[in-house]
Amino acid sequence: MPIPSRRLYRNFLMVALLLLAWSGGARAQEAKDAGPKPADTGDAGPGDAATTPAEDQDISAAISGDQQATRDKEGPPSISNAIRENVTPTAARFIPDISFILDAAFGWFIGEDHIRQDGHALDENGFKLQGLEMAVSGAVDPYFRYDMAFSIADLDIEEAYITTLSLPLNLQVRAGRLLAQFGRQNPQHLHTWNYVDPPLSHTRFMSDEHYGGVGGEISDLLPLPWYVLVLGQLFDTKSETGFESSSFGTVDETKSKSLDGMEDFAYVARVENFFDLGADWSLDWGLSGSWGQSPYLPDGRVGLYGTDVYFKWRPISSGDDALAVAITLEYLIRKSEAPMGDVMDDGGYAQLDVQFVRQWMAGLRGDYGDIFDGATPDPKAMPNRQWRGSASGTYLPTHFSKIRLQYDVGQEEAHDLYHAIFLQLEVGIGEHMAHKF
Amino acid sequence: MKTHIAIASVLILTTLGLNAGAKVKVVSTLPDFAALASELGGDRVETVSLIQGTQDPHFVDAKPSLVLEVNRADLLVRIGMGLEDGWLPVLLTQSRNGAVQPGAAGYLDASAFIKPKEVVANPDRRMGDVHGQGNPHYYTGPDEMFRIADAIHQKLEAIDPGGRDAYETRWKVFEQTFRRKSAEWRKRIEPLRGTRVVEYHKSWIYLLDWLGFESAGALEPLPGIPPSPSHVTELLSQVRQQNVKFVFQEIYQPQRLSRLFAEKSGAKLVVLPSMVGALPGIRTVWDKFDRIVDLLTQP
Repeated sequence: MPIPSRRLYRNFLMVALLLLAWSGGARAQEAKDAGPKPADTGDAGPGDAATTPAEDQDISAAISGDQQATRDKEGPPSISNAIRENVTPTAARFIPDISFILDAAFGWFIGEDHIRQDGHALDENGFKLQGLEMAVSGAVDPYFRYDMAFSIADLDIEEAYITTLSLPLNLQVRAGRLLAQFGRQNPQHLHTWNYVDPPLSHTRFMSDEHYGGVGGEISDLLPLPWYVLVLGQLFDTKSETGFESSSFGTVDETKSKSLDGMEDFAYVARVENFFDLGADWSLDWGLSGSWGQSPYLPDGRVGLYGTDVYFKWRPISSGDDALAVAITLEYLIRKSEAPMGDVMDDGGYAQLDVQFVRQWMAGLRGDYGDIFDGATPDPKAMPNRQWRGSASGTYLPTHFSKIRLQYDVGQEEAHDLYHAIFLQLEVGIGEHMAHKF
Repeated sequence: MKTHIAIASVLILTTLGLNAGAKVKVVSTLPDFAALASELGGDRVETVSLIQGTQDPHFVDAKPSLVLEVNRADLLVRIGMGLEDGWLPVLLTQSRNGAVQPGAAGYLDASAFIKPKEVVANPDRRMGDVHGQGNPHYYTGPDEMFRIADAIHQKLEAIDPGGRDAYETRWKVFEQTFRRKSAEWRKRIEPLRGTRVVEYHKSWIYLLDWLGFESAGALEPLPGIPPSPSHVTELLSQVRQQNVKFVFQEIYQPQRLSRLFAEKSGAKLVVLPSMVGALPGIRTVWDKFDRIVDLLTQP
């Protein structure tokens, strides 16, 4: 919605991005000037002591000669000279990890009135730049870490938050622009999907891109023998803060149109359990809930509930470490207060993903969404019954590139069946970012 | 009131009791570091490895159960040099454990204690999955593991000063065993000096240098890029004149091509244990190098 405040926000982002790029470059330069030179660079910089490359070489040769002599005399090396010998380059240590990820796709639809999801999904025949993400992360100090994912394609901050690293009692706080930790799909970025499009239930209940906004999160890892994480989040719902949700309204949808009470925030709660069933089997089970303002009725409420199961088999104990089979199930149900009475809808997806070898993956997914009580207050935001089946095959030349082919078949109530075919390319450059489970 | 005091005293006593019996929890990424810590710490330590010996250390799932292990660690020992960058940062952040974050007393990057080989000054992804700081598979080298054992024993003394004498005693034994074993291994492999081998992945440079062997090439055209027919054919024609004796590979790499290559080139395929736990019966670092020497000296 290009309202003036939103445009202002984007302009601000643009300036901030430029500043960041400039300061990043400047810092890189400083680090280059100040840091120790890698052993094989020839010229002596201004920060160097006055030795010539030839002298440096002589010195290293003399040191390693001495060390060799000591080693020959004493047998295996001792730790004191081991530390001295360490030549790990340190010049780049303070530059944050930066990566750029591009997702582009070509799609073709057969049949009219196909389902449209907006966001990263491809909705029309032809090409689409699905995502162009810049991810930056690094430690701030011993207490905080900073992570950011910026969507360059639409000048939008997907995430930008700090995380505490060492609070007592196993607590952790995150604050900033956060994604709602609801279910499995919403916290995932485009480049971790195994399909070209997100599940229909994601678009219906979360957002066309991601349910999230500016806010805070507190979570605790319970002192139990297995992994139990409890988490609570609170989001500001003013539209100028970039609050995004398919289920909840902004403060503009309240009677006062301003944030003036606890009921004007959006809340998320989640409990996640993980069971390690031996080295090769894993089971993750989550329960999520979210509450907030109805987008349809001033001061009306919406409650959203979900459960998700992720089951994975990867036979690492027998050395077949590239093989993996994963099943994901997610179910969501929602009650929205609307002018014509309460509306109840539900949805979900079941997904089977198989990695045969490091280079090949395949997936099957079935998803649906349906209104089972009441009438939709807005068929675009809350569509009637929809279903879809998808089959995808992915070739990964390396860990940094993917080529994906996908077939979809689906239908929306009162419309004809449609088919679609997609070809997607994804590449990433820069630092390799770590993956969550 | 009385019940309150009773409850409080039970709680205090339990806490004290727990602390008195508490062991130093050492969590390592590489199983070898856990094995070393057990050997050097005895019953003062409790060890867990995040990687299984049969698993490719580049591709580990950051499972929540591993988060829990890092959360409860007093000491984290990692390989470093970028090998765990795809998964360890997630575990470290999610662990909420300030004691094992980089820079804290309970964090040990073992790569700081070895001399890296194959350092790439200007790494580029066209070179495959290269690590700028050097080849991170240093755990295949006995001398490297000795240096790390030294670092681990010093670290244990630093974070558990009460056990200093116990750690010193165990270190002395370890050092003597290492010298004896090292001499024995060297004697057995001496006749093989100069042997040429083909590697599947470039994991073996530290071991090859220690053995006095030479690498004639790798089946992977570039690190992390799977073997292609053209590369393998070219390598085969190259090595046919070179009298290659072994094809080295790890348990988690596919074996069909390696077997074929060995057959065609007149070499012998050996699946060497690169890590503790890689093959059945390998529970210590001694077992690992004993087995490597056995496999190479078998007629």
